[in-house]
Amino acid sequence: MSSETATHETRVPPDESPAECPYCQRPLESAELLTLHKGLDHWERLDDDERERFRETYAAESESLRSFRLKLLGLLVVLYFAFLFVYSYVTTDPISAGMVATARGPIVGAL
Amino acid sequence: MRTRWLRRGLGVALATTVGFVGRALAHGGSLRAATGSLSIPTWLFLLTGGGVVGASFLLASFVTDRAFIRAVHEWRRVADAPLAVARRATRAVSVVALFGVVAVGFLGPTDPLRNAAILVVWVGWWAGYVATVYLLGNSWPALNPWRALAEWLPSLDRAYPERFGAWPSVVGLLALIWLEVVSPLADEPRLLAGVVVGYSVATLAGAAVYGSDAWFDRVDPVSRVFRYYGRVAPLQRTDDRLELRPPGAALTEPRLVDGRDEIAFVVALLWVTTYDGFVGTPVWADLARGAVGLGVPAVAVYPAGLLIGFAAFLGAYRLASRSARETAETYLTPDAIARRFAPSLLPIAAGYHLAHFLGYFLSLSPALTAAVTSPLSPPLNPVLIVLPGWFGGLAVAFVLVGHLVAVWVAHATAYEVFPGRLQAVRSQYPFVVVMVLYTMSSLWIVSAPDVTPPFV
Ligand SMILES: [Zn+2]
Repeated sequence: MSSETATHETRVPPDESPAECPYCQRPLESAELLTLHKGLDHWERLDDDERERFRETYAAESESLRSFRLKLLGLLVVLYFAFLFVYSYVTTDPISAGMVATARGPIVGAL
Repeated sequence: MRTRWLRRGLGVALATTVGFVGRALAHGGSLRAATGSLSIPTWLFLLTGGGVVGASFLLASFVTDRAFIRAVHEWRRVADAPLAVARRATRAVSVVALFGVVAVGFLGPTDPLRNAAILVVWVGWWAGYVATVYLLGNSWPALNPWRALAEWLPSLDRAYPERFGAWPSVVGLLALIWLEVVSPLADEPRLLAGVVVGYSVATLAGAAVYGSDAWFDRVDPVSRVFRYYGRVAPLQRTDDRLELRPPGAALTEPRLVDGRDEIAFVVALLWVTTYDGFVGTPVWADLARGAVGLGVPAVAVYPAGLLIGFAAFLGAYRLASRSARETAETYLTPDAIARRFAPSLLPIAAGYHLAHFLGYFLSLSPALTAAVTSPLSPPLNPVLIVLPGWFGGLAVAFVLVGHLVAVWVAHATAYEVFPGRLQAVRSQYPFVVVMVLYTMSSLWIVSAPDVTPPFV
């Protein structure tokens, strides 16, 4: 990420009060996102306090990502078993059926 | 018509009759054949394709380490390469090739399988060379024979009207594909030579008026196709240096697609590969016959289908960008989102191209070699390679790999654009829905029974 993000075109709904970045004027949707944005895009211009705040916000975000990942994993497992079930319902042998799905029929000789 | 022979596949088409072979030439063979002997129902085949793309999005979402994503995309090896010197030689060679194509097209044998012009343009250039552009790097600026000629000719250097932007290249791309679909451009060498001459005259005239930089950077659809495909490739050129990067890494850069006109071009590139297959399906045949039955002139059916489908693709992409603003809860405008994520569509287009054309290129490459070595008296029965049966599976794999690269590029782009990582993942929901639907409709096209498109 670099100063190019400064050129991001934004439109803020009239009834909202965005947190505006003091360095590039990009309006951010929350104070946490502003802290993250400043740490990611303007690291060199931050003082020690702000850097510390960025680290804390990033760590908190990682924490909430952990539970999000669990949901993702659950979804993947559901998807996997859904397909396994459908394949075993449609064919009797899911593994060879999957392989046949990507294999072509025999070619009719040459010229 | 490329699509006409997709289902049977080149190998089968070659086996039938010599007349067949000529027509088969225009068609990248192996994709539709891939589903020729499915032991699972079509709906499950489509669902599986969609499921793979959806699952790959879930897997990509597990990667939440910003430093890792950035490291992948910023990895590069740089080498100095004084390419400007070599360019003069390569351009001279390609100008000779251009004149050769036109001459052989008009004077050579009429059998497309023996005519070097047909084989060079379709097998050598549109199948083989294009694949090198997205697999290796965009060498077209070093080859472009029209640009070489335009730079030797005087120019008026009029200012290019900015308000036109990339729109002329969008129109040009759609027009070229329309011509390719409705005419026997890959079967009749004389017609092909005529079209090449027409394209050359239009291109050189345009470059003479607006200057070759403006023309080839803005207007010429062919140069634009190569420029975008080239961004997928691992080799990128910067000034006088070559950079080696992971494939697709160059697609996350901002300003690669700048404006609605360039979004439209990227979407058009994706749409034309789909359209090309769609006109060979029974659904299209029924639609076309129905429209003509209702009084629509037969000549208008193909351009109308081309434009309606393009509008639908563009509409779906814009709708996804608009919903991404909601799901990501961002202040970015839908336009800004659409611009940033448009490059992630390019690996999909490249994957389809490879799936359509690799088998076609390999089967016909001996014929190409034979015709190029003796353009005026090529062997009567050119050798053709019959591809093994698993090749069709490879084609399906290319389609899926294109989608997987696209999912990853979109993921990395979202991390660049949004400060929040959850926000970045959420921004992808609408795009993933569109991508899954797109995968399923493309797989539906390749698995649909093949019919001859009516009214052409
Ligand atoms: Zn800022």
